[in-house]
Amino acid sequence: MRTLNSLLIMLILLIWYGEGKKTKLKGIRWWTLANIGKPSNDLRSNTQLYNSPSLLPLTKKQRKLVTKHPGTISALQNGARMAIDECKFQFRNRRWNCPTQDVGNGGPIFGKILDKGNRETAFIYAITSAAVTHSVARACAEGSIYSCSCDYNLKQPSGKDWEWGGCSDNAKFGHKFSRKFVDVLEKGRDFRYMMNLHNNEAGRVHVSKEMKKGCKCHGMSGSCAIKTCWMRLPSFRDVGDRLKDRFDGASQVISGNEGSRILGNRPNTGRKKKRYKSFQFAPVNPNHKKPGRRDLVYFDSSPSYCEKDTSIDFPGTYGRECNATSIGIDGCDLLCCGRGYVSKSYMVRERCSCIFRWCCDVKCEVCTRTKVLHTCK
Amino acid sequence: MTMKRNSVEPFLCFARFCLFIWILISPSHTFGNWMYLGVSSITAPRDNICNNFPGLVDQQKSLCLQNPQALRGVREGAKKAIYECQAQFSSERWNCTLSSNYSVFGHVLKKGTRETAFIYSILSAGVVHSVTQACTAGNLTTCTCDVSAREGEHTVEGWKWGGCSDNVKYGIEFSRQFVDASESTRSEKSENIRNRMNLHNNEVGRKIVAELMKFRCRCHGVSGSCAVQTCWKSLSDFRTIGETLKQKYEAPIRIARRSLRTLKRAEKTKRRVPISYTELVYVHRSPNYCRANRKRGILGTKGRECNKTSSGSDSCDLLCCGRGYNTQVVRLVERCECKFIWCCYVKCKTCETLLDKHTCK
Repeated sequence: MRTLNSLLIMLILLIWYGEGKKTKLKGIRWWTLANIGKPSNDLRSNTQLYNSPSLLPLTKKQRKLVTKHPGTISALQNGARMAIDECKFQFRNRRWNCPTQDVGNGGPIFGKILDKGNRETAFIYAITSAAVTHSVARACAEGSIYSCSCDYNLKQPSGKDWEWGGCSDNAKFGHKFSRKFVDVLEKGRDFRYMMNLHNNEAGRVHVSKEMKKGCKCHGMSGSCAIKTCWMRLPSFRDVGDRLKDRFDGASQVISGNEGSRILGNRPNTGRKKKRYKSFQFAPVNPNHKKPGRRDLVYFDSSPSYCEKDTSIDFPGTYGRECNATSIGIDGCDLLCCGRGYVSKSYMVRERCSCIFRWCCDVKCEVCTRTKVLHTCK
Repeated sequence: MTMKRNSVEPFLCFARFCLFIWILISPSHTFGNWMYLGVSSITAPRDNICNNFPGLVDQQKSLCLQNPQALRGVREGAKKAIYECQAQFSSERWNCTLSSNYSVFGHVLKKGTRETAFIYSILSAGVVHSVTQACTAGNLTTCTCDVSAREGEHTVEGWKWGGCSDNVKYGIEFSRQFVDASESTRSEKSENIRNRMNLHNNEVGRKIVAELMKFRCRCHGVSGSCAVQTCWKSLSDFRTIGETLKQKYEAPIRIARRSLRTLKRAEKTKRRVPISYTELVYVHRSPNYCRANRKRGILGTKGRECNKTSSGSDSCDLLCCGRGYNTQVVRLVERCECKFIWCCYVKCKTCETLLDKHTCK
């Protein structure tokens, strides 16, 4: 009887553990959309996609959402790819260089680092939700999503000789959609979920509140006698740069003293809304600034990322290329964590001293140069 | 007898070993001790200060006894140099950290890094600068203005030499005798590459002071016109010297550890290129000064204030070594919009500004 009991408990524990794992990793599965096919504007090819559950690494709610707004799937694919590229670009010189793994459908692309709560995790969440906002907003204006279009509400008082009237990127829709799509996975009341929600929102705000005015002149001979103006999204590189800035200044937080006001005294507002606004973070050091809406938050301190770390699938900085003359984080000194580096010179054949000849070809010589490659020991 | 001998021999051996170790270690304890003059608080040289001051070698003591006023010059020079070093490196990872013992700069002097090169050059430059100024001011009995450039310079424009030029030659000679003394006494024991590196860098500091001499004129014609001018050569201010040396610090030459007669570059392809006294030399690579290391006297950059918007060495990215920064909001209460009210007081308002202060993680 007793053995049976303990077996039962173990079984329950196992199921619970498995389920916990599943819910944790489920959330990030949509990022594998980046690996599916080429995005195209053709909606008909996608109808097959979002109906077939085997292809879609999405949760039920996400799938519903995607079916409700046809055309978003390609925007999502695009967004996921943008996020991964941007993350890799921003961290190219750092010890943690945003490693991703191609695990087919349903696997976590960024690896186990998502289960942690450090600064890098915060950045990943922010950049992915920002990318969804960005690409959906852009896709709206391009006309590749059925249920949305340009944003014509963004009008400011017109100037003397120009007027509003252009097709603004629909950041509002992008923001809303990203909220519904990305945040659907953070269901718990756990501190980690709150952190993820905050960072997701921070990423979105960096896209939707940084719209810029763009104008086009179309008077006679292209003069600016007549102008049309519209609001357009910042380039995603800008968003990445800003988020990287916030990453550097991210604040380590604990749950605030005021606690969450989820059971607050605003019964009429929607449930979702409360979750976004009510959770209070307090910085670990009370002298530090409280995190704002655009700031990234984290609670775990990051490892040094020098050695191999199996708990986050990070291979360490062995064999990484480094810059021998720099004193920054990309310099061999810091990147190799003081282990030293190996220099190897190799020959490169390049085209050089090219001359344009009338008309119309370019003639080049072939030069051989020696280059030096430094890699960490 | 044999028994006795056997029992004595290990002891002798141990004693010899101890002596050897002491010889090895002792120079590093006296490194740059005269620099302590810069932080000590002597006001007027007393009779016994020369003999009792910690860390002066014999030659320095006798110089001090011969010319007690000059010690004040040395002290001023060292003080000026230390202050300048801290100013020049205020935004670098190594911010010219001082240690509390007699060696002033502590561990950094033990290795022949770029930082050490800078310290030696700026300190010897500081001594030249102060002693020269003391000469011109008439504080030293053994020297006076430089009058060698005075004669025969009467040109068409109507000006002539006649001013009291700063006697940089005397300053340089004094610095050579005083500052280099601590190196030459030690090099008797062994031809140490570090001694020669220090000597070279000392010379670089001195040469820079001489090189940056400026030409100054004063007009004293009728109504202050420049019909009649007096011109003289004067030292440039020490900030300029510090800046120039900082530039040299940015691109120093690494020298090979085994340089026989003359210093040789570590880079093999450039061995033939001679090293002039316009460049600083170093032997060891510098550490990155990112993490605190008490053993090596490195404080690390944790908690240092950084500049978020800059892209130089004080930027948060470089100074914090990629660890990121914390942000504090600082409330600054200042007096502002001050007005003079007749008569006679000044009325101010107090202004509050909120500033973001970033410190490294």
